[in-house]
Amino acid sequence: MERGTKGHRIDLSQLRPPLHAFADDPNEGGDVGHVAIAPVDETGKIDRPLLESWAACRDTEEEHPLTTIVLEAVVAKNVRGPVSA
Amino acid sequence: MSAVERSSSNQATEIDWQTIHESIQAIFAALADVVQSDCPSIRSRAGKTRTSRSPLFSYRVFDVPSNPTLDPVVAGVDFSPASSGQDIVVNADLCGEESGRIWFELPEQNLPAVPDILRATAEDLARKLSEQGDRIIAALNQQKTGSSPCLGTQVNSTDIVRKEYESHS
Repeated sequence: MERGTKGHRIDLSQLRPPLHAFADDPNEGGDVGHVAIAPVDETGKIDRPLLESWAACRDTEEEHPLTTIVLEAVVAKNVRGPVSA
Repeated sequence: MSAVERSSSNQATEIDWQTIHESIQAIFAALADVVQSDCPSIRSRAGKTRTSRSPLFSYRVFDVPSNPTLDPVVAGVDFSPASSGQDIVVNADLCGEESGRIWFELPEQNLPAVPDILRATAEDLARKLSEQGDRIIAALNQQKTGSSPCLGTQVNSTDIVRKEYESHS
């Protein structure tokens, strides 16, 4: 995390199916230590319809079940980036 | 879900988090009106999250639908159980939804789990955030290259925000 930012620490081991964490590949321009969280189907591939339904709930006040899974895996809130650069 | 719920730390005091959320949102709605009046291209939506570890995060997200590359700004009041004891820690800030960048924040408060105190403090913090409509507009403007999403209200508050952040860190 950069200076002047904050975020939540997620324990990836607490993510429940169908969510899965995909680590960025630095060779493909990804950031070391960064992951993307997405739902997967029984074969381990991204479940696109479910992902799209998750994204579509963004503008609603309803909490999507996948959001609930992510929130329950948050183990530290408001973690700050370093004070000094 | 019952309107009156126990806090996540199982305190004996019953705290009506839904009422606190609604009190905050009533104030944020006024903020949204001001921001949208000044800059019609900015949209906002209200929300809240509650988990077993976190009794309430009440927020309003401001974004520019015509430019989804801009990191939305979240005005939020967050309640968490203190790491020790029965207190509740309250944070209020304007923060980048994707980046986590802190555009403005108020000093963290450690409060007893007393409903009236929590509600009054939540309203006070929401009011203080609601005075920062220009910062929300500036935060979105600042990210945009080329034309501003809100011509005529462009404010470059980078230095001000940085000073605010440093003064509270």
